[in-house]
Amino acid sequence: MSARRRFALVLVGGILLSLSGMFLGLWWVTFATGVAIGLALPRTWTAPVAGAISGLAAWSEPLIEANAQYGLGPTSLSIAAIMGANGAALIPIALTVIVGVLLGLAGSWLGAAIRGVALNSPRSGAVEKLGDQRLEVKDPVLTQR
Amino acid sequence: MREHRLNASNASSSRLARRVGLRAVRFLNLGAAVLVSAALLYVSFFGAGPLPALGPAFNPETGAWTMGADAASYGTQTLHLDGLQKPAKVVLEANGTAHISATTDHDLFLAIGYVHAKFRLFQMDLLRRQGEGRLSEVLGRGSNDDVLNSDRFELQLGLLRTAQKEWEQLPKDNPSRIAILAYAQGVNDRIEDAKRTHQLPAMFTLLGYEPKPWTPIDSLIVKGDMTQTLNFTDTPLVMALLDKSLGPDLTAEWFPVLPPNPQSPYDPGPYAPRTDVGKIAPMRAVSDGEASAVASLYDRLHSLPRGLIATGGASNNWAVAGSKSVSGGALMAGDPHLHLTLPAIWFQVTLDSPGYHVAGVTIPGAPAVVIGHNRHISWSLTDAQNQQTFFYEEKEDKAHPNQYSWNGSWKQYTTVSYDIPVLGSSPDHLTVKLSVHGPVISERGLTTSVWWAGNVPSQDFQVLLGIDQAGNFQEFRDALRDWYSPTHNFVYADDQGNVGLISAGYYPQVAPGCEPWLPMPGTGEDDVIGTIPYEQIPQVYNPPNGIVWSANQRQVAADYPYYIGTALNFFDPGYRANEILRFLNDKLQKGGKLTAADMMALQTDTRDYLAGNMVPFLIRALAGQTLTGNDKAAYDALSSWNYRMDKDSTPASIWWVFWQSYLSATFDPWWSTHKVKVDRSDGGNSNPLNDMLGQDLEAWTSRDPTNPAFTLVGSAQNADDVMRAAFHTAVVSLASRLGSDPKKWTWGRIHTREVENLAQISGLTYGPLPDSGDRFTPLAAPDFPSAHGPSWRMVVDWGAQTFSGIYPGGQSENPASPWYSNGVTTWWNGKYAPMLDFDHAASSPGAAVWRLQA
Repeated sequence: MSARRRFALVLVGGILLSLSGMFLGLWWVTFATGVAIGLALPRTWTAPVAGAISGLAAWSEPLIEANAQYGLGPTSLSIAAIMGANGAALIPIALTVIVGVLLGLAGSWLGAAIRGVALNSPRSGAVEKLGDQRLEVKDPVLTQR
Repeated sequence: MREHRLNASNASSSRLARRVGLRAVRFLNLGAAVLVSAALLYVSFFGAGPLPALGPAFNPETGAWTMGADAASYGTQTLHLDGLQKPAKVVLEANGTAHISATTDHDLFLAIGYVHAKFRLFQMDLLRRQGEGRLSEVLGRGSNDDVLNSDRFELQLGLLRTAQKEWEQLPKDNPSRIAILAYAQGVNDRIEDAKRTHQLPAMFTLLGYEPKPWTPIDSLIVKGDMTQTLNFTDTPLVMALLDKSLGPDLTAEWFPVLPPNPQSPYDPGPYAPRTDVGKIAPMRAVSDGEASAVASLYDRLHSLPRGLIATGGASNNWAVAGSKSVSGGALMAGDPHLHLTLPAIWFQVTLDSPGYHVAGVTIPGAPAVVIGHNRHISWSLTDAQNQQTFFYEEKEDKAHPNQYSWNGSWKQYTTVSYDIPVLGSSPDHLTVKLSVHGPVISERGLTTSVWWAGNVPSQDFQVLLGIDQAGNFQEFRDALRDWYSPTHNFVYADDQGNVGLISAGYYPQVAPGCEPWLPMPGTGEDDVIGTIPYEQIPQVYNPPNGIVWSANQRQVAADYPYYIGTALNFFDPGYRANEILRFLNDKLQKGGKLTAADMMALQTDTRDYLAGNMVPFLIRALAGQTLTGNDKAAYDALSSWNYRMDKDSTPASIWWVFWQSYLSATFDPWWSTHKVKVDRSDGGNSNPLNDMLGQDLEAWTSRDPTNPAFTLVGSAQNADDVMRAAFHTAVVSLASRLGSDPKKWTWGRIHTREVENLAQISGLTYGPLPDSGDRFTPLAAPDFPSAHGPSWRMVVDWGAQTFSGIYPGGQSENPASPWYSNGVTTWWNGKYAPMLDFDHAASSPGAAVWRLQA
């Protein structure tokens, strides 16, 4: 499977999983999904991107849908008032999206970090070997030999 | 070779170092990820500081955003309710008014419970938590422990114990028991629904808890909350402090039993004779130890959150007999004055079932119409304000630990223990001691217990349901026989043109010679021995003049043979009652007959009766004086004033500031020289102390202008001297506050009104906006800004069969709902909405129908 295809599959799966969790009130599934994304994607930069996108999508989609159905204005203004930001309807929307992004991002970062440590552990021969090979190629002393 | 080995060794070391470094970086990365994730998850799960738990709060599917989904869920639909016996219907008018029709009475109450919880669940939860001492469980200790102190006090006072007794004493087959149980089922149906569909009110999500199931005790507690707010008073403590500082003679003179000025009692007598009436003067002197203990208790009570102690009431109601109305039917008007909140204390309904056909307002949490009408009668209420709170100083001795002396023997205190759950800390343990008088609420200095009529178990829902079903005055009066507390003036009008007014409730009596206006000895001689017989409580039915009216004034004349409280405890000065009577009499004399429109005009009347009495004296005192500048302009404005506290009136501002200045100029020197520990400014202008002192000032100004009270004021010798100085002070104060142009000193710049959000969220409060009225006008608006006033206005014309009502709020507590505050503007503008019956509501534009099925 190509890296691009794997990225897309993991991302779509992550969004769906995260959305399902939130619908059930399990908002932390966004974070857990991020962890899974981090573990699943090999390259370090792709995991946080996918995690952030999945969080963004999962936490934005219901807002977009609600806005289409009955309008977010009164609700957003009410939440802003409760937060002490009277009249600033955009703040709750932005905060909601940020929370989603942060959960996805942090989860995927954690997942990627775990993967990084686990795959480079001394007890993991294959990964150790890859590391040795790269070191040998780049080591000028060994090249001289 | 050696060099090669050396190089190889160096390379190996370097490789190792890089590997170790890279691994360290990866571990560092993991550590950082763990830390950041942990912090984010902590804030998301538990919140931090002012931040709520971000995850559940902002989850768009189940968090605060569901306010929008809830607001969109009021349309026509079918709902399934556990416990429903037969299908029922709820019609919601376009303005949110709910009309419930059921084929059994049980289902009617179940449906009320469901509808209340659908629109007011968080409010209901707060109300029960307040009375049950469980606010700390969800709010924490509060700043300065104010939330926990509220819980402690409530558990000491005993609303919960009383509610439990009431429930135990309610017979199994009693209709009100059936109603309360069915109601609880309906509330719980809604709680389950809301949990299942993630539609719990947003405040639950933001505070991070879910409501527990509703119980019958909760409904009884909600009623207890209202009783406490309306008549748990501390006046004997205030009197004791006044006695200690001003002295017994001055206190008796300034704070008498009977009001010093003419009032308009609605029950003028004649009364059945009784000879053993207690007299207030001469008053006994309060000892140092007693004063110290009282001061401590007074401070404690006044540090409690607003609403736990009744500090004054203000409501209006009146009725006009059919013989005096244009329509030929009786007219009735009622506007109970309460704290104005969003959501409101009221929820408007129409109820139809085999046993009930009633419309009006209910209190969320309680399954009965409190104010309203049925097919034959209408009623409303005002607080009667008689003394229902008595303090007792228990006699103790170190030789008899945990006992008190009563009726000649030592008696063991009963104790009850509570563990108050506190959010964020360990439970707070509380032990409450109970004497025969009631709970001990202070042990500082002296052990003080309180006898409060609200702690006498009563079946108030049975009474309310009896009123809801009454068909004539006899049935109405019979139903009220079992109403104990708070004492209310229930006004009555019916479809036969009859009118009446009855001040139902307990009027506790102590033995002759006792001094109930002060804390009394708890040794038995001063105990409450009974209440005024029901037949002799203030009441009137179809009086000759055809009108009945109440506005918290003393209901009876000076020759009423029973003690019902002092002028300080805490009857209204009577200005609104006098103004209502003046208005009605004036109309009857001029036009002969009254209309519903007249009733509405009177409910929003802004004429200040006290100003009408006092301003002429001020004008006379200023006449002949050389006035210049702003003093002259203010004098001219007052000279031509109509005594209306309209928001665009400048003389209204001048009058009010003058009156406060006059009060201060007269009494502040006494407070200062005698070191009076009762704060005159406490509670703002709602302070009953100021009401009483104002009555004294009115009396002295008009009939005793050389009263010695004036001689402490600088070089003043009489009322005129003090008035002139106070007038000048008022003008200077207004110029300083509102600018030098007297034409811009409009009342609305000083006096505003607001409808406060119940959770004190300022962004969800309506106002403050400039508004007319003051605490003495029928359109009651005390304080600055005023958050107290007509909480519901109802006008009934039985001849024309028109029923109108409005309250300053909306049916829903959801701020995103179109029904959050939709009634405020109509109410603010003095307009009304028709109170439709079920059929008219069902066919009204924009109505939604809920079909309820099992």
